[in-house]
Amino acid sequence: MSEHPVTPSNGGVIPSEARDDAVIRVDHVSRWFGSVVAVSDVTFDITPGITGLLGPNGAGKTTLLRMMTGLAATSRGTVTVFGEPVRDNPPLYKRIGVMSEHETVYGFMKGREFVRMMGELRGVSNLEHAVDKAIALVDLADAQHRPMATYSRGMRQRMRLAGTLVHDPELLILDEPLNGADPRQRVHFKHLLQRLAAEGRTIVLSSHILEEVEQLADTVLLIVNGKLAASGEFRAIRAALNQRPYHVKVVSDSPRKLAAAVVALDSVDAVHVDPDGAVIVLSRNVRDLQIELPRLAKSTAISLRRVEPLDDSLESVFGYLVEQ
Amino acid sequence: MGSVYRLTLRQLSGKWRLSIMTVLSAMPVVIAILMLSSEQAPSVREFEQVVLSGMLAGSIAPMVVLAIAAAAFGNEVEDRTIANLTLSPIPRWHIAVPKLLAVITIAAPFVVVSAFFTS
Repeated sequence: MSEHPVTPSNGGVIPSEARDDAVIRVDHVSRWFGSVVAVSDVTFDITPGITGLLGPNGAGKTTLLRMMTGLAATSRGTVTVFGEPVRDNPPLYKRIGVMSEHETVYGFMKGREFVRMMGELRGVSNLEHAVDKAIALVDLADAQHRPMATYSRGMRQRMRLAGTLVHDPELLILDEPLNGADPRQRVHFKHLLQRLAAEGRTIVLSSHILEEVEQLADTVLLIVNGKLAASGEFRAIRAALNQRPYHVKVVSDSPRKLAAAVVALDSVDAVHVDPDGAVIVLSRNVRDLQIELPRLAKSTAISLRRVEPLDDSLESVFGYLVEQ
Repeated sequence: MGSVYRLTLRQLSGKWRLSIMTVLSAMPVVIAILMLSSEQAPSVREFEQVVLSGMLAGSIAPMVVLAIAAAAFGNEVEDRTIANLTLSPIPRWHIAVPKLLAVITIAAPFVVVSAFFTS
């Protein structure tokens, strides 16, 4: 497991040491449903900045987030936010903004009505100004007077984010916030979160997509099978990922000739030809392999028809990290 | 509390729901008219037992109220929009009471109008 505490200004996750500036403290938390253990003895602190909660579907991310927002009770352990228990503590929600994974909205409401209602519920003073500001932040001023039933998936997510931001919370907890967002919206969302984090907020977001979190969060918590598999700076996690062995399948017009040539590459650890005639390459340096393989094919006049990774799923990535 | 009340009123004011409530509420009135127009008109006591106590108070009114009350919370839970309310810095009764008041606001006219015309 990789553990790299970082400074609060960059956002941080401290798995084992208690921190005075911790905004969220998860202390030996477990949650089970009957005989199924969803979260098992997880401990970490989260400080200001952007923290990504990463894990494959069913890893326990949403259960963990629900406990961090007070929506679910822990079976064992404690969760505190701003030093207070978050469960059954409604006044704390003045300081917290939560956007759940489910993108269902009140379809009959106009976007602006929804954000205003969220502001009213959170006791926002100078409501109209706060609503204007929140809607402008998500760049939806043009669509604010349309019923939300007419919105695209990405627009619904953004208007929900406006509702989450309307009371200017110090802590933002976002569960799969980029669901349904197109590339332009993702870039906008990234800049928005970075701006909010730069203002000193604590932002926790979950995702099952590695690259998504890589673009947004400086630090990550990797959750696998309900356990904290790794945590710390993303760069350290990424370095560990780059060192893992990859199986790459290469389909060509001359598999045996290709196998003989490719085994000589420094980036290749092992090679074999499968019964279908594809060359299976084991490499610990995929970046170099990506560069060397086309050059090799050109120099040996071999025609490459398909090159594909065989174990690039998030589950296999996490599996590798857990083994480490 | 006003936000939750207004939200619930709008949730419960769907065309289909109001149409079904109207049909249910009209049933005792229609049956009363049929009974009164028949050659063997029932006595006041029979009418009271069959239509008012048996049908209106015993089944129609509870069905109307139950359908509306279940929708007030059920739709929020089913659509998973309930978190918008429960993650607010307000006590739980600030959610429950306005929802109850909204249910009464919507259901009461149906029950009262139905009872008035039936009796």
